[in-house]
Amino acid sequence: MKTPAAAFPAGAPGVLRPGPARRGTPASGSRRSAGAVARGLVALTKPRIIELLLVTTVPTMLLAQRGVPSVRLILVTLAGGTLAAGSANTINCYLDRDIDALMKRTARRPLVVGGHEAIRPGEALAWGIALGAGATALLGLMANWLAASLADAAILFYVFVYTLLLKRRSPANIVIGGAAGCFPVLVGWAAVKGTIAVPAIVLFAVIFLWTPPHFWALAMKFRDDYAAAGVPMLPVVATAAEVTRKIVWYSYAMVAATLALAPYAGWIYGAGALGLGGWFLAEAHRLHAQVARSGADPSADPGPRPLPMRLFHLSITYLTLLFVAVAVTALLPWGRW
Amino acid sequence: MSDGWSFDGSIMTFAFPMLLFIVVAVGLYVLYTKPAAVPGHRAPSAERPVSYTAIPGTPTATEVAGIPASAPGDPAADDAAMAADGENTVPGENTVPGAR
Repeated sequence: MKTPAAAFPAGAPGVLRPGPARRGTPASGSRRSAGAVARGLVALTKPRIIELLLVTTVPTMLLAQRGVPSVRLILVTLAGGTLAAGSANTINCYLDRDIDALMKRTARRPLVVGGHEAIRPGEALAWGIALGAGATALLGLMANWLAASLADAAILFYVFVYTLLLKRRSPANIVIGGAAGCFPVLVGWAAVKGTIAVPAIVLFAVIFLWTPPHFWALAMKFRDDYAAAGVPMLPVVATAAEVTRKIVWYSYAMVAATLALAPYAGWIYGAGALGLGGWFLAEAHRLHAQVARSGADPSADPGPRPLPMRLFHLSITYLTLLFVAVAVTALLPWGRW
Repeated sequence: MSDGWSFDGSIMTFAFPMLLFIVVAVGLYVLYTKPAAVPGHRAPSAERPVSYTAIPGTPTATEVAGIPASAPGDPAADDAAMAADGENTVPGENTVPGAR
């Protein structure tokens, strides 16, 4: 494996690189419409990612309650989780606006250098901090302070550990930094129970182990993007065969973690986790076999649907269905052992 | 073709993150699974709200002859107390002042 720091002497996060693409700030000329600003502020929060975070929160709350918690508590937790995730994503966009401009996948984000500049960087930072403060107040005052402090921990972890410390320096960036995405299950559980328990930690582990296969599959597809931006994602610094082998390892660890919840959650969940796990493992092995067979970069696969993206999309469906199984088991009294 | 496997790479991208996760998970477990250790933790309040206000000086369920005392929070006890206070009775029966 190459040494990432040597291969990519990236600049400090958030420090803009000089370049011809950079244009004047919004203050220098054109007026901004309120609609464009509002759309930009929403886009900074990365709503698609928030959606997946919330998919894991509600079933966890149902499992903690072994039924349906109060609608008020569910809405408060979802709103608080949305604000917290929006805060972390917005601050991430602020800090990464230089490299986002270099990647096709992120080049249309509102803050990118040389982009349409609907939002000023300072405004985005203020927006991110305000969202975080709103999340803390909402969760703390209307759920409990453990849930609020866990949401804050997720924001701080995503900003300081992932974005500032690891993203541009280590191929383990998404593995360790991905822990930030595991906090919604802890927040959901804590909102209902006021404490954390073993099932919540197991669900934390499931998402922690799910993140590398999910994200590395995406990074295999956009390998050149990350390389251009100097981000040492594993597919950039390691061979495709090594990446897919790690995907298989993490997939097995993830499926083991999902099965560890079965004694608590019940047989419906256990059966679901087993079937879904088999599906995920088959696809991970299929990707690894294809890479080993071809010996080529799978991102250059000429097929209609390259396998890395197939695994990426499958991982989203997998996680959603797994948490549906959690919810079903929590609601049905006869689904338990 | 070399598949690019390396020991230090595996340590960095698999063993170390897993170890770190285990440390964090154990830390969370030790810190926050005991309600007494969670700052600001409150025990869940009674789910059945109090539906009436007792009038000072009126007998409670445990004081009414012929009605057995029940555990606190027992719906039967609440109903008995309401009956003792004149609630859940037929309108006009024993509620009109001077009827007795």
